[in-house]
Amino acid sequence: MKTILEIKNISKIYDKTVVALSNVSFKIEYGITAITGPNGAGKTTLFNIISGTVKASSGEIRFLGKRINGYQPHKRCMAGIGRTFQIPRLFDENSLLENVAIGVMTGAKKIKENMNIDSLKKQAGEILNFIGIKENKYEIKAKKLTLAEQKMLQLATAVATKPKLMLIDELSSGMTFQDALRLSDVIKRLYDYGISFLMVEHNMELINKLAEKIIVLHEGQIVNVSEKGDNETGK
Amino acid sequence: MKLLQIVTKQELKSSLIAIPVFTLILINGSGYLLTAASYGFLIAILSFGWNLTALTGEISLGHAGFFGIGAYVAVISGISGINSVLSVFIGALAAGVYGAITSLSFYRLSGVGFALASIAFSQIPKIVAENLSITGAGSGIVNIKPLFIIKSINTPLREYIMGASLLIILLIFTAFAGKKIWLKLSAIRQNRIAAEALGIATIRYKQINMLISSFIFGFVGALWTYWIGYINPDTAFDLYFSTAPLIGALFGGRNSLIGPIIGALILYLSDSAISMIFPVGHKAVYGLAILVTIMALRGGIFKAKKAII
Repeated sequence: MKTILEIKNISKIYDKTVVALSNVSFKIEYGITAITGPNGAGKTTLFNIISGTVKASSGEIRFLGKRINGYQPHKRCMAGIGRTFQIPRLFDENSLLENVAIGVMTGAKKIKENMNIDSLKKQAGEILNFIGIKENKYEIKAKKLTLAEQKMLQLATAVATKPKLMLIDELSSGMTFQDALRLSDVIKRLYDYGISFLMVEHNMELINKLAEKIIVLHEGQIVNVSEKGDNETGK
Repeated sequence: MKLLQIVTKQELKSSLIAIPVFTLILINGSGYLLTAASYGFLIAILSFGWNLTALTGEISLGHAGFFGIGAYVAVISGISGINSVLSVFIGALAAGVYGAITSLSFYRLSGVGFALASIAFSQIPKIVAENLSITGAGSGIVNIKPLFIIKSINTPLREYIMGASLLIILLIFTAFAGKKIWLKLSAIRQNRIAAEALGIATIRYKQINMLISSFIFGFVGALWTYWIGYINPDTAFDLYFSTAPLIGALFGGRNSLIGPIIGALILYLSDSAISMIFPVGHKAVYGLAILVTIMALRGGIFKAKKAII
């Protein structure tokens, strides 16, 4: 299987004393990979480093074979990395359509397509429909949504950028069982469209249902890597 | 057509009321009224220019620095023999370059950090102007010839120049800025990290907006100094040129295109009218505007009620 993301000896040390990540290395292939571990294990820090929001103290990141350490976050998105945040980061004053249209603009730029406002709106509506948000909510402001809806909206905005790899950070937390089921179905369908996933997740049911590979982080280090149907574990 | 696309109906209606009022002032007005109207236009252009930086979410307290640079560079260029009209653009360009440099230097700053840094970058050129012989040091430069040879001080030419400049800047801006840019700027303003994660080059947009914004300030500063005929560090870098546009934009609605222009015009003309009755303390109108905006008009007169697309 072709490697999509390669993390080599990534470390992050805050204020020269607090070690958030220590020599983390792994490769992920096209598919769905989960990262789990207790709070404070360094999962979100790792996501922030991959998406460029936080700089690693040392180490290397390769995406589709290219070293992306020096890329700014927007360039990583343009390269094909989409992400959601643990606490949704949306454009609260904008409507759902506008939120997704911002992502659609980037998606269109990637394929060098010049879309007018009407086309942006149309495609944003299609993505919202795909994600399962009802049409009667398209024009309301993002801040008026429930937490679960905000998380789904954030997934829609990131998907609109046409990513090859999606980093999803605890998307199911705060969701009801039904919402989590719906989320799992959406992820599966997006995977069928060719989007790979790296998900930070605590919901073991969701992990077992979706992930082909599970990475366990603890105190900034990988303590276990397992693959579906594989009882062997190793570093 | 593009102007109509990004201006809301509410803004358009207000503009339709404002345009004949100002046209009447320009045609029939004289003396104090004309001067007040043209100063109103001047502050309105500055308010529009200041808002370009604010549209990326940053509040600058130091735009007077760009105003002063534009004024000084234009006058010095004019004195050294360069055509005075060309010197206005040289002044604007110098302010734009300084804006780009400051933006590059402070690109990591935002919020309070950016606001404080902006005060610092407005003071640097002032200190330079106070200490150079070419700028006339603390006493400045006097007897600057008007931009066009205006025989009579009452000629409305300068008022037309200010009004026309406002219109041209607005038209140029709307010719290039479509709804898509508006949408991107609203994203940057609301959540920079989310905007970056969605592929928007936030730093580049901030820098471009700062460059255009400082260019506009430099341009107006240059026009202003040719208008009043003298320049010194205290007047050219007067804090008023940072605060009046800011308050005008906040009062008018800094998330809208026309809002800062209308806000600045209302405040300046109110200030001028009140000053005829209360020659002292009339500037309180700006303080009052801040209070009203904060307490009752969050988002300003033209609070963006309507979705952008």
